[in-house]
Amino acid sequence: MIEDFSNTLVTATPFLLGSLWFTITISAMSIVIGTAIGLLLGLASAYGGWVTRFLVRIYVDIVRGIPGLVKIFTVFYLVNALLSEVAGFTLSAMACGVVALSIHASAQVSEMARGAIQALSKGQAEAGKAIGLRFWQVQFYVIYPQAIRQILPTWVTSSTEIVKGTTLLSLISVPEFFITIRELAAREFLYIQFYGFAMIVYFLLNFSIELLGAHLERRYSRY
Amino acid sequence: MQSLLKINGLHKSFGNLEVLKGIDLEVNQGQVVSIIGSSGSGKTTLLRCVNLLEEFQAGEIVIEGQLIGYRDKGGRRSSISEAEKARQRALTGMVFQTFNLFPHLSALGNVTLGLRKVLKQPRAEAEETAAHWLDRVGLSERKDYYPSQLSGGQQQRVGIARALAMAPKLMLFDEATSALDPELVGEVLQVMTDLASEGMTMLVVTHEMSFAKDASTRVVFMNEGVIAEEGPPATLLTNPKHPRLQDFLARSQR
Repeated sequence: MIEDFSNTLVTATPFLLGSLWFTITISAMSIVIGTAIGLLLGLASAYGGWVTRFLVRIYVDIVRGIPGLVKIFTVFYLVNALLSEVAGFTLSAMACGVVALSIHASAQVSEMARGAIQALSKGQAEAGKAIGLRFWQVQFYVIYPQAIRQILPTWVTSSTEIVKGTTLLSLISVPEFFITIRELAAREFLYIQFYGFAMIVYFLLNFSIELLGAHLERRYSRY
Repeated sequence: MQSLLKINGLHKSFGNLEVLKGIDLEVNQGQVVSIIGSSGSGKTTLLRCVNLLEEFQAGEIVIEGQLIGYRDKGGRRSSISEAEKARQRALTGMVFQTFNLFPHLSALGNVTLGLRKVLKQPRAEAEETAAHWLDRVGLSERKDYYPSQLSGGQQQRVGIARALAMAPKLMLFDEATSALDPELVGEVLQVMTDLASEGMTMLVVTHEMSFAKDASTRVVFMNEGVIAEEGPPATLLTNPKHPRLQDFLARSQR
């Protein structure tokens, strides 16, 4: 049994590494895009007028109220149907996955960023203005560094959620790590071994993210 | 003597509450004007209007012949762009009651930020300028410390260095010593007094009667949104005419 597993594992290594790389790429892209959009939305809801705040609120509530898998299917089927109707092209399964996961992350980050920005004293922005910094400079050099430090622990948790969320993409046939595991497990009848292996790999992936987060926290907690 | 700051008929309301009810004030080059008055008299708001941290509804503020905050379009006021406001804010240096240092930057970083991003100085030059001003407030040994590692008095001196480094025409002090422990007030007042004697033009909102008396050329007493009385410190503080000022001085001496 063990030998069967280790033999399969060795022969399937390139295959597994390729799909693991897919998982990592999709996660990283979704986290980066989602964080960028989320920071902008957070800024909009912290400073915007009531219309802007209201629109962001609706977006965040809708996104947070829908299960991840439903978001993925919605983008894959509904958005793609609309796109092919209107623009004459469709997104690949992987692109749909990145879009869905980015949307998910953006809502989480938006809420964190809004809270962190609002928690900063008004005096910080005023001190920035007083030395002649313009609005975006104040955000970039004064507000964001402090807000990001504030949201770092929660952000790390959300990032690991995104990595876990990529497993759902196996359901729209994105060739990520979990779909490969499922195929191998079914083909070789080694369910316990392969799912156990997947458990360890995902744990290590997320544990590295946690370690990176802890490192960043230490680095930026000098003040 | 050359007029540096000229305020005419300044009106400012927060909603229905009128905080400044027509302020006229002129500060010449090199003068130190202390503004005293009880809380709620509008003195902090006046300072914040000069630094464009507050908008105002009527009147004008002129710094070195330059209209601040608004443009005059054939008798009608129109606002100016964010970039223009930022440029005008840099004409004045503001020292806050609560210091408002940037906690994520070292003392040096606090001072260099404006030099690098607003005045576009290269890093080395900015650090040199910043080191000079930190030395000037007696903190050259603390330049790599973060605000949380500094005492209140040291933090406020960094705040003063941060404002001075931008080479402002006018320094605004908003109750700069009010948040400090009594034993730390002295070091900040000393820096302010030195600046005053070196010819810096200053508008100082303060509760420190000793500073108003010894370091300022003129003292302005504000009451309920107007300037109730002004004059040289010797006259105004020892021989007040306005009954509210007499009252205020009697209370602050206790």
